[in-house]
Amino acid sequence: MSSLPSALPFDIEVIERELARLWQSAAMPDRRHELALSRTSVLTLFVYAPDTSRAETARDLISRLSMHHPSRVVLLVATRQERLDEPQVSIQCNLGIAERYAPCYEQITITLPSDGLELLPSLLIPLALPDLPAFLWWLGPLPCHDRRFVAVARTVDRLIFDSLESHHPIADIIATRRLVQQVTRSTAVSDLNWGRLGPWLETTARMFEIPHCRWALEAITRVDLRYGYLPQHSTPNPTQALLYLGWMASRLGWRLASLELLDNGLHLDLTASGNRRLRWTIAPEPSEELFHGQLLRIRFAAEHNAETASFSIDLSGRGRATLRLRVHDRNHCVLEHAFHHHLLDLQRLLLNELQEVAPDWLYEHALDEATGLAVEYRKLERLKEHERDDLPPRNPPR
Amino acid sequence: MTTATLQNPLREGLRFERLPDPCIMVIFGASGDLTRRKLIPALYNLAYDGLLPPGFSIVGYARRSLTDDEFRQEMRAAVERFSRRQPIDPDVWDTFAQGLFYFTADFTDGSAYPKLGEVLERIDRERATAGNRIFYLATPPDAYETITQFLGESNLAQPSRSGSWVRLIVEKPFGHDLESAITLNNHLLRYFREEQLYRIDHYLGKETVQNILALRFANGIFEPIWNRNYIDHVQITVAETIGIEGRGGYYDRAGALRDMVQNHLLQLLSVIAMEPPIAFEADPVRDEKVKALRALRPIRPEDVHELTVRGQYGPGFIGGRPVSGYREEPRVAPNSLTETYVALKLFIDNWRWADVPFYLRTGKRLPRRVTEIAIQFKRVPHPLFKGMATAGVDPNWLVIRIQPDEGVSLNIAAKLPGPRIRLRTVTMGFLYGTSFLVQSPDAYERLLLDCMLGDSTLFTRRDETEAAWVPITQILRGWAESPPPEFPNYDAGTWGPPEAEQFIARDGRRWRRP
Ligand SMILES: NC(=O)c1ccc[n+]([C@@H]2O[C@H](COP(=O)([O-])OP(=O)(O)OC[C@H]3O[C@@H](n4cnc5c(N)ncnc54)[C@H](OP(=O)(O)O)[C@@H]3O)[C@@H](O)[C@H]2O)c1
Repeated sequence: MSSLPSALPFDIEVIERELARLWQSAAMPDRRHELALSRTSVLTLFVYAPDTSRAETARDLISRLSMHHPSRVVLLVATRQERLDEPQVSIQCNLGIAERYAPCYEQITITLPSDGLELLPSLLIPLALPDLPAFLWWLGPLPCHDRRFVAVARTVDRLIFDSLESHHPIADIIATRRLVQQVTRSTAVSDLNWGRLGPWLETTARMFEIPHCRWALEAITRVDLRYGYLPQHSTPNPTQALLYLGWMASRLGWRLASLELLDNGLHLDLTASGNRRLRWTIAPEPSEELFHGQLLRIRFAAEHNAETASFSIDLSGRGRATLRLRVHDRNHCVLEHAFHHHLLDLQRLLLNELQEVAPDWLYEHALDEATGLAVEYRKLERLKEHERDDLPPRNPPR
Repeated sequence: MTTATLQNPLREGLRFERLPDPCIMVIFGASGDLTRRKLIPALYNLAYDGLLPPGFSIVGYARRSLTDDEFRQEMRAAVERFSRRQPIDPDVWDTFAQGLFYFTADFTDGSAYPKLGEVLERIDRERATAGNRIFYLATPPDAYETITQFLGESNLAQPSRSGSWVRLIVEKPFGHDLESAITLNNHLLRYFREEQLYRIDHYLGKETVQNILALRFANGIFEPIWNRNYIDHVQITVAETIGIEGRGGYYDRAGALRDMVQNHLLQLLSVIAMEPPIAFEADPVRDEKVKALRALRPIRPEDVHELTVRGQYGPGFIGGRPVSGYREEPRVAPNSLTETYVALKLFIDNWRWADVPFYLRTGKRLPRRVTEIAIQFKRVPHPLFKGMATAGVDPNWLVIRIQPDEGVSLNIAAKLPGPRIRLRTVTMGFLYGTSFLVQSPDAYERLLLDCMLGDSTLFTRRDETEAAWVPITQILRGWAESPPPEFPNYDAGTWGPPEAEQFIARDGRRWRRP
């Protein structure tokens, strides 16, 4: 049995009292600027940072975000130190935005023990602004396997995490789906990594809306998908790729027929309506850190009677920030379309997430399918491990 | 090959539930100022955001001889200069520019239109634009009739195949009085159906106008008091610091009443005054706006001097810089009688608004750039707090700001802390831009996209344009019968002619200092 984490060395009500005092002193009219400090609030954003360096990154982002967005931000920083810091409370007002109003946001920083998962609900509930949506942005790997985390997630309206942070991507896909089901009544769960897929989904959908490409949706035969992999990272993270496939499978009713692990990636055979077969290849490809786990390229081939076509979507251009769609008709490029992939920027990505409160059923369906694939994947992996254990070592010591 | 139109199951649930069909936009007047400054930058931004359909193409039509490549270069320079997004994304630009074409011809040359038709068909084949077209009239207004007639006569005004569409965007000014607006409408409707017509008023593309509808109709607390029982009067101000920016030739014939009131101010008035529409869709919204405009009390020529004030700026200072007077501007007659300022008092004769004055004012070279709608509520019926206690307390104002800093504020009276009863006005406000994390798109981006999607909610319908011309024409007639005004009558950098202050003071009210 694990021991209880130490209690926090302050009274939570102190925070509200301190904020009230700050607002009171801030309300003294500023005759020089004749500014009204605007206390409009739209949401409460809780940010959990597993260590101080993550906290710094978060702080920087929050200040950029919040300067344009009145809200309450509570930064929860986990630490392994015995002594916990006193909470810090401040009000930040941006004087440079509007003529007469200075939008303000409240920032509260609380340090808590890194094993303090069960303390969290008792902080989140009283610190959330009444009647407004509360978001929890979880930096670092999501403790989706920890049963205590369910209670934490249930205290907010939306939980935001990033499956790119996962150390065990396949197992975490399965655990995340379990979490989504457990909190479904109270909390929408969103994955920034799914958010990054937005422009890819959009481009894919659009491809099949081009009048002379519509037929191809029912005639896809092969899909080749590559995602980035920073070789220094111990494992590639195929979550985004699997969510993408999960999305297509859930929309188009594809079923997994077989899965094969390759040295580098995997082959999947799927059946579509009318017992049509199609083959997917998903493989990592060395890339810079920014693209670790991110889709880089997808190629579709479609065939129907004598008609063939291929489509490609690539991250290209300077800084790979452009999504480019190319449509080929018998090796002939017939159409090109490109737009900016703005969701590679964390700030934009987070902004998008903060605008949504309702659950994203598209994500949930994609996650369901990805979970099915992950389960099969894990079975094969285990099998492989067993086989490896049974084999004699390759270079037996002489 | 299967050609039947399949539903796309991949579209459902995506951020953009609807994407425009692939189409070609033909811009008449493609070498002009509007194209360079607004249209191409807006279209590029839509491309950048991935909101344009694949294959989207633009054909620029003007007299000047240019090759496609020269046109692309000029448009690139325009985007580099005027787009809200900088720097330009070379990859996005390259694919966007693949869809840019130029067509050299005079609007009056009837033989050019069948050739234009051939170009459009070729693009349809090469870029899969499926026969969908938008014709944009970014031309001097006197070209509208010629162009649309030739489009009609060369069978370009109607779709050439089933399932495709043709739309026409008409820029302001739409006519110069009621009669010319009716003539123009009749002419357009000879070749196009009303559903194909998109009369643009870029003010309606502004987020805040839509925000007004949301404020009024998505909140239970405002609608019950949104009437003559609680509202004392409404002030709509559109103040500009700029002069006429080289558009003297046009402006001197138009004046502030036609240039601003007929469209922008009356649009704002109609969204404030309209009854709740049955749905947020093109026709229900426009039905209600038209009803409000039709209920405007007729202005008899003899009442015009009671209900209006005209002004024209002389030299003065804006932001500490000397500026010349209107009559010294290029292409303006030295004895011009064109108004650059106008203030009006209008009434809407219906149950909701009977006898509530709507004060409208707009002007050039005013001391600050601001657009706002201010609604003053009536004072409380019985003053509970007397004497000094209420000194400095205004009646409640609800102010909807459109520029700068879009937002809403409400003034309320509150007690100062302490043993004595002393009241002060405090402002509660919020700014759209800082309350939600999204940047508002430019008005043209929104409107062009709506037109591609076939949504005409934010465009003016025939009856609306004509209803808006009715009071304007009455005022113009009254002015024509009055002695000529003594212009200039206000200095640049002031809040308009002194008569405007007296005009509202006669009613025991005063203009806000926005
Ligand atoms: N500019 C703005 O910001 C703005 C704002 C709101 C509304 N508008 C409205 O938009 C319209 C266009 O304004 P603008 O400022 O762009 O005007 P502009 O700069 O004068 O441009 C007029 C365009 O029409 C072309 N043109 C004129 N006569 C032609 C003919 N006979 N044959 C072929 N092309 C001809 C010109 O081409 P060539 O140079 O090759 O002759 C030029 O491209 C006007 O109705 C204006 O009221 C403009």
